[in-house]
Amino acid sequence: MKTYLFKRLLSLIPILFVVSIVVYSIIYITPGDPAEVMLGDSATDEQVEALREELGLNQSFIERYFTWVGHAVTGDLGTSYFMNEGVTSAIISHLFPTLSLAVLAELFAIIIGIPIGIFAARRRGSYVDQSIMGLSYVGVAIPSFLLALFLVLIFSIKLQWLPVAGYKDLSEGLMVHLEYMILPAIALGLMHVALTARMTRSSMLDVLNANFIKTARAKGVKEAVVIYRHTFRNALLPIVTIVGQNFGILIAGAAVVETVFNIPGIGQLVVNSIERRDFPIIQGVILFVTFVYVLINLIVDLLYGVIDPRVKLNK
Amino acid sequence: MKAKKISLFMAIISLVLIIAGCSGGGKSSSTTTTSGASEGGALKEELHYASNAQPPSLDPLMSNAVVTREVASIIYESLVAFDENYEPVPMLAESIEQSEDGKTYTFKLRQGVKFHNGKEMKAEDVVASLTRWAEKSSSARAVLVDPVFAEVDEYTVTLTLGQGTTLALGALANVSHLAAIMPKEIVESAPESGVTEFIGTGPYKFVEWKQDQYLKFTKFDDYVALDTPASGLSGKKEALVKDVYYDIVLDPSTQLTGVQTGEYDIAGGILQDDLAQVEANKDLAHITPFSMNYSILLNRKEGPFTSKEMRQAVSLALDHDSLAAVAAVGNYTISPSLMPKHIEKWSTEAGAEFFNQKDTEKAKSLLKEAGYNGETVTILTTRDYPVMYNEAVAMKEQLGAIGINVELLVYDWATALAEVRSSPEDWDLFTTSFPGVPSPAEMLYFAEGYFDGAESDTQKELLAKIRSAATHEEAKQYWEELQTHSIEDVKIITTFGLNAIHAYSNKVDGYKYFDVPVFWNVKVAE
Amino acid sequence: MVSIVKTPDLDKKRNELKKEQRRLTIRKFLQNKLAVTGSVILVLLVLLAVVGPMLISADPYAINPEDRLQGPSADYILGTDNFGRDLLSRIIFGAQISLLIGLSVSFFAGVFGTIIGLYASYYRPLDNILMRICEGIMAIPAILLAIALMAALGPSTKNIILALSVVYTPYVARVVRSSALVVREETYIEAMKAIGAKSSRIIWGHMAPNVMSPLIIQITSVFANAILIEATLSFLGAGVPAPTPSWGNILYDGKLVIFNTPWMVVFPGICIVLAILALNMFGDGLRDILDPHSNKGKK
Repeated sequence: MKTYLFKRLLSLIPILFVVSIVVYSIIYITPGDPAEVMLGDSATDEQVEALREELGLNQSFIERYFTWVGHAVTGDLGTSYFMNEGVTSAIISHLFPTLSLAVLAELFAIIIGIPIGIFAARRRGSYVDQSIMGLSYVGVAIPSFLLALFLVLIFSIKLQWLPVAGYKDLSEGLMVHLEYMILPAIALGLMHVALTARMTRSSMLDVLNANFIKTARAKGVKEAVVIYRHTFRNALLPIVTIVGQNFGILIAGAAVVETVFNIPGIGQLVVNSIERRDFPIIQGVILFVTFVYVLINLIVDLLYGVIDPRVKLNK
Repeated sequence: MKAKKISLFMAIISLVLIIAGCSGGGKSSSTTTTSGASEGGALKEELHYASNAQPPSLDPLMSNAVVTREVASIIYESLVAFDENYEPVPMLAESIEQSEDGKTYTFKLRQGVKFHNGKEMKAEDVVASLTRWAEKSSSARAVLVDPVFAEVDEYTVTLTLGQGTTLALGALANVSHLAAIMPKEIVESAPESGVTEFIGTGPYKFVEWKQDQYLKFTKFDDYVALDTPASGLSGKKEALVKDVYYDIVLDPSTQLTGVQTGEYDIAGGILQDDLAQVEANKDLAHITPFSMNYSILLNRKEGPFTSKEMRQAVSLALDHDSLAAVAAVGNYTISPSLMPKHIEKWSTEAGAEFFNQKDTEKAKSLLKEAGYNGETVTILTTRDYPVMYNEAVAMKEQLGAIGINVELLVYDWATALAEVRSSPEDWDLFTTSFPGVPSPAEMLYFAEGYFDGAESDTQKELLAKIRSAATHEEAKQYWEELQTHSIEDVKIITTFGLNAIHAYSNKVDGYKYFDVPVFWNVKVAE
Repeated sequence: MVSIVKTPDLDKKRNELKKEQRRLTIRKFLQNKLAVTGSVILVLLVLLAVVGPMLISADPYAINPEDRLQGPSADYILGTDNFGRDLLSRIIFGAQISLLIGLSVSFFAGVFGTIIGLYASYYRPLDNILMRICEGIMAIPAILLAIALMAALGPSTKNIILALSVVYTPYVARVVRSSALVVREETYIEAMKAIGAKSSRIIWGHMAPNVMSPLIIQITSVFANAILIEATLSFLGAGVPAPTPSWGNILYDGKLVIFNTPWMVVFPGICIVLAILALNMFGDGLRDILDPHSNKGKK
């Protein structure tokens, strides 16, 4: 177990290395210059040049990359060009909205997805089952930004129940916070409702066909007990997996929803930073998101072993 | 163990259901408390202004972005400020004297003016701040010849110029690259990327900047207001609300609903298409101050527009009314005046005979004369500013109609800026916009070495004359000549002037816009 | 190929067998509701893109300021956009762009992914390097990578295809590699190596045909994702450059006027959903038919 964990952690290093090179190269070939963006169209060439020099933009690719890596391994991701603050602190200050959004979307997916999946599995083959599965296809096919627009159109513009966009921090009250987060969370989470429902259904069906369930039924155990105590518990493993994987995808997918709803999370941070060429932030955030994503996958794998002792990790 | 997990799961579900159940009740109780407090005509402590952009910097000398000047005008003040007729009058200066030859200004400073950090403003702060300003401000570069600021005593500062001009005080009052007076220590320790502390003398002081969310300012208790009546940005300034929130609300629909629900007291970025909704709402008022002159720059470093006939063909082919109808929709003015019309001191109709002609026949014959052979003409534009982008799309259609083969080059703003500056081979026409400036000499596109490469000798000569004219009347004459020249020679095509729409709640009293939103002397009723 | 003594009789038998197999596959396909529904919608969209422009007279680029933001009417079946352009014809031309991008990205990602996947599986040292690179690229959220690439390359249809091909090639490569690894271990491949067959013949003649099923399924998914990401990019203003109509572009314009003109969001939105829906169904159906062992999707 320990050696496995160590190996897995070790395997993150080449991935992060590749990611840093990819991101760095993209940034290097990107036209546009943070000094020009900041100073605007009135700046003289000398002013731009002086600022470029100070920001270290005049160094060569190799120099810049290795200076950055040198700092990054010690945990220093640099300083934003625009924000008067360090990259790490910028990530921290933008992290909560993204986390809140991802958690709410995940809760939404679990609360709606699992019961629907169980329900469909119990009525396998019926019209209800078929329409649920059909709807799940539609759910997966709606891009989050589009769903966001539709939700805004219905709930904010026509019915005027919820705000069009914007963000209120948790410190202003849970209800206020949720009022602003509900539509984004649904927009982000609907696809995962569909995925979770599908996975629950198929994993329930696997277990329902198992011999011990047939035995239990034959013994006359109540249907509800069969479903919830015997089947669901045993079907949980693949469901946990997909829920875990979803979480990584949700954090990454939050970028678009944050942009539509103007939520100051890390996704919006990176999109804005790309626009104004705030290179340290772009590098830092993409590396951070990648790290979280890979780490979550690792945790899911580990959980797998904890939940089901039959899964051996050190192969 | 599994049973525990399931019960935890159930607990989470029930928690969420409880939360959901509470939401209705919680909301209604909070509305009753606010309605209870509204009795008695109390004033609100907070003012929320919705802005559609985030400033690139809070240092007024680091950026000429409109947002930066709006925010800087809250924190900082200059020696002089414009009154409502665009005449510069003393602000932090007590009095101003000018020498006979017009080359020396002596500023007596007001005594007892405090910075937000408690320090008193003295001559050394003014000299340090203005020396940095003279270096970095585009206005200073445009109108001042060899400016030197010097301290005479603790409360007296002189400005010496290499050449007299009537435009010096106007440049000092410009809200763009504001000649902000800051403590000497802060100015001197500032890196190239701008000051790191935002300390000024204004009625509101800077509190915090929550990136992508809001900037917060709070009343500066030690502010000593002038006695003269408020006019433009000058005169008496009183902070009547305790906290001003400059909320960053990029999405125009959010601004609209926000000002409707009272989340924002003032929304500065309402779209023309949404104006009807503002007008239909009895609780809202709105103003439509001038925002920008939308303009086309022509690349004269290389490409087809080095030819005057080609430039004139484009100018003749454009139908400004139709461009404006598509790009600005309503609330625009079409005028040959390069200076915005509300700056009456400078605006003029000179050159109108060459403006907005819509003569496609003549345009076609000019194309022939110029020997145009279907070469691609590239319009560089950006989607970050929808008005520019819409204008470019409509322009492509109009120029296509006289047989010009037009291609759009759409970049984000950062790339577009880099392109116009350093890649003249990539673009021929560039859509951009210019806010008002104190005097025509300070127009960015008249700056030396401007990227369009359109500095004609006539232009240089006339600009020098405007700068050194002894009186405003004389300067204006030269300006009329220069405007006519700029339109006839097609240095720039000013397609239309766009007005912004600021919607605000009827509870807001005294809101004005003068180059920037004015937050002092504004009351908000509960 | 291992040489066989050819007799006409055997050839005939073989042909019959092939025909029979094909018939079976077609029947399986027709019995698969997902695959059939998916392909019907796809065919309709392709028809819309190909035949649509011939049926409609309105120019998708013609600007009419006085007809801005009109609702559906006899003149404009789906209404007009903020330039007064006919929405229907823009949606039809948008279908062309979306399908073009989807097809091109599937093609390029398919070709490069197959090459990388096959060679990685065959040459072990290469495998390590190529797969680390692929894993690295896949670890970056696709949409963020696409946005960053578009900022670097500048918006154009060509660049979107390039950027999305870069994003999706690793996904194809990984699938191809894992299927090819299985084939590589087969005895007959070992035998061919032993008798000194050229590696290019082993790779293209024997391994490649065996990775076709998972490859096709993966490519369908790339197709759907390419349409999705193109729409997202264009919606964020970083995609297909204006004034070219694309579904995402129309949504970008529509978002600004969503209060007055909801149909500018609704109609292209429906098209995007339909296209992705059809491709997903088609892909899942194919999986059922081509890869019956996999338990993903429907039971």
